[in-house]
Amino acid sequence: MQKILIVEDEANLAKGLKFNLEMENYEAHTIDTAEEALDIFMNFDMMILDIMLPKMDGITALKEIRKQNPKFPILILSAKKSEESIVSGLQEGADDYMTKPFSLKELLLRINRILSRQSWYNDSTKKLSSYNFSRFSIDFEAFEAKTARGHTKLTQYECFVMKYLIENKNQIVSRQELLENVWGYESKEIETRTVDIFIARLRKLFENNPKNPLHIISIRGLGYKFVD
Amino acid sequence: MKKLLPIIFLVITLLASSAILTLWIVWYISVNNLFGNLFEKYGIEPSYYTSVLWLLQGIFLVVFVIAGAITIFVYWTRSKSLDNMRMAFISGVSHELLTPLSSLKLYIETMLLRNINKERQQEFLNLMLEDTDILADHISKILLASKLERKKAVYTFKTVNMTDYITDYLSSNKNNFKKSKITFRSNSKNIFSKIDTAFFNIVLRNIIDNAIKYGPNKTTIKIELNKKNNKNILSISDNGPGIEEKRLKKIFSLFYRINHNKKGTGLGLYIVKTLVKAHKGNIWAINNIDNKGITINISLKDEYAKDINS
Repeated sequence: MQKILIVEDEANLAKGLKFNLEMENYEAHTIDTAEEALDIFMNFDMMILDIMLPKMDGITALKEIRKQNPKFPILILSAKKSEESIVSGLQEGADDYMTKPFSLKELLLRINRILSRQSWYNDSTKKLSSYNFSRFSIDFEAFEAKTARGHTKLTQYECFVMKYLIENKNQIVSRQELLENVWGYESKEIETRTVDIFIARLRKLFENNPKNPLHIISIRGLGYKFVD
Repeated sequence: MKKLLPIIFLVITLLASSAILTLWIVWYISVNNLFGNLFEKYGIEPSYYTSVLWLLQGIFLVVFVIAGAITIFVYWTRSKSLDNMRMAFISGVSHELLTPLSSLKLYIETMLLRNINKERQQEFLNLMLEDTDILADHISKILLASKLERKKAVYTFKTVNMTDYITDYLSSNKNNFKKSKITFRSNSKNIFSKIDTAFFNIVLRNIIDNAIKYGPNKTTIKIELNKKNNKNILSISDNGPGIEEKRLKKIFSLFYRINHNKKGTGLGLYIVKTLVKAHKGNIWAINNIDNKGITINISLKDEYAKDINS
């Protein structure tokens, strides 16, 4: 049974989330501080993290966790609808975000997809375990890369997206396609800026000049394309 | 760059005005010399009075322009600062309102999605009720703060035995303050002040809620009521983290937040201070000597000397 850690200090919300996850056959555990999350996250398969927490805030905790484990799946919850906080969360390494109030069905869907992505990825990595282009390289098995910032670890989704783009290199990949294949969202109803923010994040890693990309190119109105 | 624009304009205005002033004075001096020579040549008496008047008029006008520019700049700065506070307020308030709303939505969706036994249903419905109370609470605070800011509150003052009043208040609100341990002591059974009990309830509620919010689990709150000279001093101490000395005065300002990441609207203590002032009282905060927490002190005029039936 997969174990999910809920980091949320609003007691009622935490209780409701735990109940629903248990109904979906996950094991769920709730805590209300970021500090505690740092101590125990490694015992779980994924984490739902609220950004606004007492004392240490969610983003700081996120950064800490990413230092220790770039792969650990994290979905952030935020009442702040402002783009900056969502972007900040995704830039610091969250795999996905939801704003409050959220749709329960959508949340459950995203959690399910985040947990099932790992097996898809492991299967596809057997066919392509690493890739080099210009002065960059990615090791899909170790989740590491030689980037514009030197040798760094990549988060799970950063690898997923790069892998998909590279596997489809020189072809245009639409945002919808990325959402469906990487994040596993089938519905067109899920509105999300996740893809754009991820592309921006990846350009900072794999482009000499992110404002003038040579490898991860935008095709206006259609999507993105990876070029060697 | 956009932020610096008003400052740049101010500097340009000041430089231009100073330049005008300098040129004006230089022009005056040179014209004065010119006319001086001319008058000497034709033997005409120069009128110093009129010419000095011209000089002073020019200087006055330019100084006025400079003063005007600086005043406008000061007002602009204040307005910008208030604007920033309003933005922070809106952001804080949306969070305060969205959170219980999300919880409500979650439980409603849960009940629609799943078959839940009667017992669970009851539990969930009670939690949802709690959330609607929290929402109502926040909205009332916002409306009250607005009313107070526009000076539209109407008070009904009555002379009240403060010791009895506080004892009653604490016992009838025990449920609201479950997360804390509150003790109350007064140095006399006969302490009277003129208060509007409904509004004073809000004062007590906000101060205690704050202490609970920022304090440790099971905050200890000590309330003391003492008669000193002709003033009644109500002190509410907590054992929370305390506040930096320089911030102690600011906590009663509208929208002021110690930490912008924390929850809360920044309205509670503003409401408290405004209400205390309406009661012709004084309020101030100090850090506790043993460094554990703060004490909020409210002083009210003692009414015992007067007829208590009035």
